[in-house]
Amino acid sequence: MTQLVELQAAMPKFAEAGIRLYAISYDEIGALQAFAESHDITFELLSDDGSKVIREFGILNHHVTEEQVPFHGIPFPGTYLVDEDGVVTAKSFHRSLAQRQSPEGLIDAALGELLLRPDEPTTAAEGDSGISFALTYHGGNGIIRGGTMRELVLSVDLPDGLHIYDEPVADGMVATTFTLAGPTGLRSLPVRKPPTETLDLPGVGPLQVWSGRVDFVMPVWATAEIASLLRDDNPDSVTIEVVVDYQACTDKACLLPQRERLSLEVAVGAYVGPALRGSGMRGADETTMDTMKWIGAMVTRGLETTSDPDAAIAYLEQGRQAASFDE
Amino acid sequence: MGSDSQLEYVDEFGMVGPRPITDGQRQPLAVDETTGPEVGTRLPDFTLQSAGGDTVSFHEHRGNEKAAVVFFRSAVW
Repeated sequence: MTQLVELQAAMPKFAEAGIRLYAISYDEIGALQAFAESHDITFELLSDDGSKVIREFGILNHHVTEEQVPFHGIPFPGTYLVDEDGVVTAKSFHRSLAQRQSPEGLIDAALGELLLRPDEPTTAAEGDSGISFALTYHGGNGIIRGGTMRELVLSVDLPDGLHIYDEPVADGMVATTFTLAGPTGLRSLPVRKPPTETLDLPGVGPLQVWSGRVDFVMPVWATAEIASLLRDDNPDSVTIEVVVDYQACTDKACLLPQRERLSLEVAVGAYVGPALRGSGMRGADETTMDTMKWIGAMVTRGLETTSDPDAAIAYLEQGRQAASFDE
Repeated sequence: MGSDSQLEYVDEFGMVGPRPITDGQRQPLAVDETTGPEVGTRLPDFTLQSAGGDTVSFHEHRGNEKAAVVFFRSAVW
């Protein structure tokens, strides 16, 4: 849901990039109409009621059994990008439900380039011997939210004649690493590195190096420790901290290994929940996020669920009481 | 619960159980799981009703433009 609202916010960027946007779910058409109206959705929201297309594509989430009404029929969430000929050029499927590609990440994938924007949060630092670093929080208009991916982009500018190394390196040398140091609750995937050049030095052997402008991309996402769907005391912002280890060399000599720390404050966005009540829910009569959480909890705990709305509501009440007791 | 300690999970309300559907730690998409049509192949065509009331046949509708097709879980929950 958050993902759809973010996609809508990025519609001008999709239009500018010449990419048409379609979003498909198993929801009934009425539910999609209500959602489109309440969130001013202008891209195509398509109803695959019965999950026929989801099955044909082979992306039905088969871990959800037929008994698990209303969840049966959902896909493994993901995105296909197609070119002008309709051929798939990239796919974005993540293993965790909390990881959805940001709209900007999809546009980058469709265009095959990294489009950093001037309004994205960024910080710069000067390193060793004229090397400069910039850390940019890419995607989502600079806002961190639970449920959608962002990218931390480390741009390194190396003066002519200097290079830095990819792994593996010879003993005593330091390869370039870009690691996330904080905050707690921000998770990352392996860093995407640009292609290297091979530098063959006599007595050292072939080394993989970067020179000029180098962009390292680290996908990150916020867990509930940062932006919970259910708390209303999320922080207004968090400080992202990264550490860069590197050693710059010329063809003849190396500088000492260095460590650079960069930090960047980004705003935490409000969770975008359902604006609907009593519309389109299959077999239940309330649709707010907190009640859905409890129905979801019942499903995963193997309890009887929506075939008996009274039992569901009783369980929800139990959850609410537990919640208020906790406070 | 508790018979499988790997499944044990304490949620925000202090209740113990398997990880709920909304938990980011849960990994429903196993490494060897299919993710549908492969890169380099033509995306299969489909015809569905849109929230705007149209019948949308994908390849015809997009014309000769690039497209992103997002499969999401639900607009309701």
